[in-house]
Amino acid sequence: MTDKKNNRGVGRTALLVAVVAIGLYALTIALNF
Amino acid sequence: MSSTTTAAYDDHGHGPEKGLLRWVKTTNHKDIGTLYMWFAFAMLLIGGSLAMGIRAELLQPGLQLFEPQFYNQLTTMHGLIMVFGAIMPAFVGLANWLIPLMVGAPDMALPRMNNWSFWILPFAGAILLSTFFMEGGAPAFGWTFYAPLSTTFAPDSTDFFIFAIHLLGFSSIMGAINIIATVLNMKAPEMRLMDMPLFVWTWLITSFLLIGAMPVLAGAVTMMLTDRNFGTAFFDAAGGGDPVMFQHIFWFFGHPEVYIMILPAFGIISHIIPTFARKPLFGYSSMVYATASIAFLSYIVWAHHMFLTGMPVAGELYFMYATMLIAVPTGVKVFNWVATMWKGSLSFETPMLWALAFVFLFTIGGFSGLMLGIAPADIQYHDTYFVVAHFHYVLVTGALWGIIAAVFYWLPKWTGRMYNEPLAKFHFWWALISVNVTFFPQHFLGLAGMPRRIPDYSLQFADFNFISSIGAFSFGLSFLLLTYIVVDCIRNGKPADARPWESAKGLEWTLASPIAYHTFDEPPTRAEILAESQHS
Repeated sequence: MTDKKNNRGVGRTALLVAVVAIGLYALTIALNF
Repeated sequence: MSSTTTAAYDDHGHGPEKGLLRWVKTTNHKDIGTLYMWFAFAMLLIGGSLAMGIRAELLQPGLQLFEPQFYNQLTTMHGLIMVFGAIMPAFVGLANWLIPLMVGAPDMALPRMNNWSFWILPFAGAILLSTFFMEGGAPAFGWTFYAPLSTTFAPDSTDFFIFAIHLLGFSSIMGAINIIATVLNMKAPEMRLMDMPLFVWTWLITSFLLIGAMPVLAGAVTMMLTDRNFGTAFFDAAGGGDPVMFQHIFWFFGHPEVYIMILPAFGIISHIIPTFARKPLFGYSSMVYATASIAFLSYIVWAHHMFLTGMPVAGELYFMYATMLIAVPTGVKVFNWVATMWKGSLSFETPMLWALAFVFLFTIGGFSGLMLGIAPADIQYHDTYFVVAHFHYVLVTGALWGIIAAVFYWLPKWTGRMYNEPLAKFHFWWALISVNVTFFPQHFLGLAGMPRRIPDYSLQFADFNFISSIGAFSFGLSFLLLTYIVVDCIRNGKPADARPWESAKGLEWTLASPIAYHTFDEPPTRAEILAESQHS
């Protein structure tokens, strides 16, 4: 469907943002122990 | 795109699948946008019905219809459903429909995850609503679910509420990831960041707010869950925990959440006003920077919701001044909207009416927010109907008004048909008058000292409550007309032009009407992007 040139880096961006979200979740709980 | 590439992807022409499975299996951003919008509308009607119950109880002093415990369930569930079920999904629906069209992308970056983000929602919503039918009833601790009300003293159904919030948060985070990846990786190669339309900019910034705030909410409800079921004492003072810490964590999520629900509306208004003023948007780049400033400030003002928890004066002063600071970038935005209209060739089609009402009424909500942000004054206002009036001006005549403005503005593009303009204008004035009759008297009730979240009140509050309830019934009824207008447009509307608003700018208006199932197989050129830019 998509031109390969036009979606380069989607996986990397998504993974990076997901890691930040999971990290914040863990940090919220960890800081309250 | 070369002919070789076209041959390699030989599935271009296909349309949607037939039948109900189309909606279950779809990965098309337009379908998913539509699903989000209808889900949000259904939740709006359910949440609105609960509000009708609340206002019916408050029509007169004394207990009329409900036990106080059930009344608390109504206010709690009304807030949760409207915030997590109606406003947020509606904006995600708009993002799904519009962002790929506005950046010249063929779809969202992660279409299968997009499907998953949506289909979590009906289950989470059903779990939340099912708590009404459980022993002990639905959560009754307010939408802010402060501990220990939500831990030690909460009904058993709270665990279902916690699961629903986890799911809703998960869905929002996946939605945000998708939007960030779509905007940063999928926008047309020839489109620069400062070429992007403001709805895209505001949603990109909102996505970062979601990524920063939703995991904190998830952390808070996880800790609630373990406090309730696994013997921890995060928020239990008897076990060495701190219930005030819950409030800090909640509002560290809660304040950015407020901006999550308003920034996309700012973007929408920044599209509609230039179109109907027939002028380019005044101060495009200052709009972008103001949005980013508001987002940054939203993370450092959370404790202005907690002035009465007993924080040091230095803390109160810091949170007060930081809160005041938000008025600066917000003022920039309001100024820019007014300056866009200045000496414009204005016309007042339905989307413009909603956008203009937004500017006036959201500003009222913003100013009452400033009043609440003054720490010594907040001692008087805190937990009164003044707060209720304030956030309904922000969320109903702000966020919801932005959504309705967007629906009328882009409905011709989505459906390929025009809505009934005279009827839509009549509906606007009906909603505008009734919403003010509902919420404006609540300022007076709050200033006179009527507390929030009570089913009964002293006699001196009777008149304004009566007026407010009558306004609310009328406002509630107006949504039946809105439903008719939208359904009538979809079924019987006259065919709309590709660009039904003569001065509308944006790549979405370059597409034929009715819009094809797949769009922007080839990205737009630099010339096309510049011709449709908000700068010119």
